[in-house]
Amino acid sequence: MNRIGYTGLLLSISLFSLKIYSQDKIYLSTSTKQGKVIEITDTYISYRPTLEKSQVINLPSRNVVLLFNEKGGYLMPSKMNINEEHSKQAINAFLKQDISYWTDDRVFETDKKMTEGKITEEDNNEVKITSKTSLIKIPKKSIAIIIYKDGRHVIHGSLSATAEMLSFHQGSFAGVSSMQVNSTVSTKEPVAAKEAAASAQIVTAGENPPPLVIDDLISNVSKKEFEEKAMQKTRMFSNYLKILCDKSNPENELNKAVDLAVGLFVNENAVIESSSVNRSNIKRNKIRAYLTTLKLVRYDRIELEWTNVQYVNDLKLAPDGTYRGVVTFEQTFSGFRDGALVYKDITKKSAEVILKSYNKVVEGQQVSNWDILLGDVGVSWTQKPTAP
Amino acid sequence: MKLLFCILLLSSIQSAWSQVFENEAAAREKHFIYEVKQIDEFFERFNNDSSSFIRDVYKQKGIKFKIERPALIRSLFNVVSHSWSASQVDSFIIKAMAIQMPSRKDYYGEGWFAEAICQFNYNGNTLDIPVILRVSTDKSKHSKWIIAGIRQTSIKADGKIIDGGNSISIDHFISPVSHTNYFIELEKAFDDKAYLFSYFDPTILQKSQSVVFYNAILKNQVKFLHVKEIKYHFLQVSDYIFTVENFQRDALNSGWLINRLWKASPTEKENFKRTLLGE
Repeated sequence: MNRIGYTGLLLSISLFSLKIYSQDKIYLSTSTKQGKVIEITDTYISYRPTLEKSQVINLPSRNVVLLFNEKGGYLMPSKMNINEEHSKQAINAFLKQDISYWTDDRVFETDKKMTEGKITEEDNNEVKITSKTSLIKIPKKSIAIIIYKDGRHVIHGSLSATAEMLSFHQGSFAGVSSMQVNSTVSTKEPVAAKEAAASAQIVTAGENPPPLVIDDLISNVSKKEFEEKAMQKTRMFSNYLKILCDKSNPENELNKAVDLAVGLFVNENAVIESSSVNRSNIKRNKIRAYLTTLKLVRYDRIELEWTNVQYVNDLKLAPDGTYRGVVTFEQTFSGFRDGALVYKDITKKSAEVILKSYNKVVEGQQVSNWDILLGDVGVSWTQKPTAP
Repeated sequence: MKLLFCILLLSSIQSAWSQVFENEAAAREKHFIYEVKQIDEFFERFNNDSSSFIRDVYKQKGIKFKIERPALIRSLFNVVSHSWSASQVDSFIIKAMAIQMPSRKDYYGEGWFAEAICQFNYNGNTLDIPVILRVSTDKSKHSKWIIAGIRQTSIKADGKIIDGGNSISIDHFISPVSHTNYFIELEKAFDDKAYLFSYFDPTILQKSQSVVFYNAILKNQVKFLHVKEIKYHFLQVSDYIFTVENFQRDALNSGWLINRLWKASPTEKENFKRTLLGE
């Protein structure tokens, strides 16, 4: 093959690859389909295969293990109750795939650990990823899936285990599905709409669903499950903070992030404390006011680094029938302008998490379910990091 | 790694917990593990709960947890304070072993109080008022914090309970976990004039300091600013009263720790309680 022919082949492979990457990927238990997903319902998923002039094909939803779009957004239709409002919003976001909010590569390990950063080197044995301030080496054998910044993904583990693991992270890391959901929610009253949706779920059980007593709930919700979901919600909140502090994001996206972040909270009266090493007092604001202020204090980029461990206390039953717990964690905040670090602090925070139980009807059966909302977020202390 | 944690385990039993370390990520994580982060974690360690956070961490690291309850209780003392003798601590631990602190099974036990030193604006000045709270629980184990008394106040207000603020609703309460956030919710409670009485123990009607405070809040004579400090007082251990306070420092012996310990007869305990609640 002459030099021109070889280059031409390379070019055609490259173009073909680009075309594949620009398609959605549909994982069934024993095969994979590529194309453009057009519609997702509780019974079928419609897609148009990659080949030109293809007919639209319908697949049974229950057979689809995992869906990926070209921006790295993902859904697990078989694990979703598509009639739920938040599922509808996630599907809408998946199909629209406007913008990817992920500025980093993400490596998900089989033990549910997730590392964000820039992959600097990758070979058959390991991945080197620069995460925040450190270089982390992750053996390939412990990786379930890598989702690259440009939307590509590579599954390393088994499909079912990967779907299970992504399901665990979906609350906090399904960038597209959690960030772009607002199009179906009124922009004027997004929280009210969310609350209305939540109320609608609660009343589906009938006129007066019997409340779950604490022993029932404790037996249905393990401490581990509660801790994991509580952590999802607090990390999800941190992700919205990142978006609000990134001045490359357009105004309408910032407003969306405010609405979505507020929607994580039990109501608009939730209070957020904020602190700074540059002032001695701790400020208190209601959630929306806090986020709106944060939107104005923008850096080119921020980093929010968590210690790997968090303390979650036991649930307590409150007079209104909700169960309340607290997640305590430490967070390092770094703000950059023009590529330079201009502010850094370490803060210990405690976020109240409120577990609400509700009954819903799935395929004619009444099923007890639960979700977690955030309450007040307090600051215990803030300090400057020790100079290296 | 196992060796490192074994060394930490041994050092945790000794007063060398006051070790200072560099503030890099691994050290911070280590500090986070050993610090007593919440009063609930204080209870876990005091009781040597089988599902405690520290045990979970050891389990995750693959290390057998060998610390016995007496050593755990000893580690809950603030090593920087020396207001007790070694023999007093030994005697306390023997008595403490006979009880369980509020725990998952019985969070709602009597005999402990939170003292929130609150700052208020009063006539243009900042005034500290110690607000005493306790956990109130109904038969169905619904729990909430309620204001049980005011230790002392120099506020001048009506000494008889005035009308107003006595609407009742189960949705107006201080969360049972509000203590972990330095009672942020007190601001909402003090602003919720129509339901103000919902946040107080009905027995405040018999406490003159508390009635004065209640009236001043209801009439906007004082404006809540924030909670400056929290102390917890425990009277459950036979012959002893102890106070737990929060110590934030770059040492493993940090967080919520016993800072005062003294012997007290049942009568002395009753007197202490009365003084605390401003009776």
